[in-house]
Amino acid sequence: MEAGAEGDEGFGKMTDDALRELLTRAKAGDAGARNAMVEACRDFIFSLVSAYCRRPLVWGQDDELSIALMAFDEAITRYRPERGVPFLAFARLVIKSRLANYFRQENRHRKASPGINVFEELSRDEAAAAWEEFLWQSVVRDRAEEIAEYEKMLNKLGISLEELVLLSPKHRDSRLALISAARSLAAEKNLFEQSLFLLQKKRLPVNSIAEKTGLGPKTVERNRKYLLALAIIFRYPERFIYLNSYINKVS
Amino acid sequence: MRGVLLKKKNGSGIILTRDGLFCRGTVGETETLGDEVTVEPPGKRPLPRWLAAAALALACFGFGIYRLFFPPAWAHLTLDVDPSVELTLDSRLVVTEEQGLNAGGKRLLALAGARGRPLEDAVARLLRRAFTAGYIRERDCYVVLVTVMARQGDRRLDPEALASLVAEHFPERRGGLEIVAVRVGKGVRREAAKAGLSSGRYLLQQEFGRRGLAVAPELLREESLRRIEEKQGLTVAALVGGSGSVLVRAGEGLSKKGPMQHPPVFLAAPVPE
Repeated sequence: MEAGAEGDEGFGKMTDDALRELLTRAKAGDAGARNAMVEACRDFIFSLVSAYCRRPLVWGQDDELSIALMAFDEAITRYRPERGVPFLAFARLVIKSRLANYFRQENRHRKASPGINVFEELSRDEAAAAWEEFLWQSVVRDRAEEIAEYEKMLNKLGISLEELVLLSPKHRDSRLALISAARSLAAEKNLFEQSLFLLQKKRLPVNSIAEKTGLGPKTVERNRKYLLALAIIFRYPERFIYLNSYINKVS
Repeated sequence: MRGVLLKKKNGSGIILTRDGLFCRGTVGETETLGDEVTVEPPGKRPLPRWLAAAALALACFGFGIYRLFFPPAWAHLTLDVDPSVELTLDSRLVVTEEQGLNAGGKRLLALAGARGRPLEDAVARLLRRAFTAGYIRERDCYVVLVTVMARQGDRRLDPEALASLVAEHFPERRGGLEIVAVRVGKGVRREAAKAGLSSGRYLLQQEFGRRGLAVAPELLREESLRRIEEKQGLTVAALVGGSGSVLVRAGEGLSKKGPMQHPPVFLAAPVPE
């Protein structure tokens, strides 16, 4: 599975703050900001669509990527910050919904059966409003799916949430130091993947991680599962948008 | 504890807080994965009322017994006769604790303990022992600095009363004597303790500082007050005078039997904290 683009904070080549600023300008009508946003999030869009379609895709050839780009543009228009949902999570929702619509229509054409599209029964304005409401209501389901995916990924590595409750450092300062270390680890693709691989064999490149993160080797060893559980969130920001956004808010 | 809900089963859930704590607790039925929820961590259930009441009653009883054997301090008095000592008094003005605040003070208390004695007796004993141990000499001039931290309104512990007490029990000699008595607040005592000084010497340190004079803390702690006066060219009375001090000055040939010859005295507001 493609990893998200590397970076110390935020997603892609841009920090959260920069993305937020572009979004504000794009929603205010700045076409340049809108284009810049789309450009900055191309990797995110590509990863998402590839994962959804489960096959390799190529820009300029596959319709799914074009649909996703249009859906991303639509997300910029429809997004409402006051709803408290991270923008990329909303964009993911819009893209997935549009792709689902696309595949349904493709299926209908192939089967030559009319099928039913609820939104087609309404007027254009009603459809737009209903569609938007449907998207916001889908946030809850989308978030639950993200959490389920996170737990599934942890379980594959032999880590359980119950275990993490026991392994979480009790002192806040320790946790903040480990969060920072997890970010550093996530930014280092090779080391991160090596760590995931070796963790399953109950081994870890402790010294390399210690050197990269600035933690002592004993601290790394003692907190290896906790460290990796957090690093996963930072390594795959496009998959764990809600979790990433939630922890990123800690000062 | 607040965090995003990661797992939920049978009314119990696991959340992840913003600062990275994975925590288990009880969650409501309507909460779904991904919601930001508040959980009650296990083991924090409220005590049964009877148990809480019993614990409170036991704590009060225990506190009462403690207070019976260890009554709260009524006042703290420091005596800088070059040795520096602090006496803690209860409401009957009996010394409950004593502390040497410099090397001389520790030695003096080792030679003549004051604990368990009424204040007047304790002061007389300490002054007598200071004389026999050589801290107070026949012909030398001395400055005695007395500070008191006590509740306002206890006239037994007015600076004037304390200065008279020291003057009355100071050994008869030919040398000069000055007694400066000052009332201080809790803040001064606290800061003095942090600085490792008696309250009186701490006041001097503060005053030196205000005047831009540097005096090494060790010197200030151990040196005789008269010598500090000579080195700095300032009197203790001038340094702490005007801040609620009482000054008693006696000349040569002071007799305990006759009435004290008091120079004009002044009494102002207590030393601010």
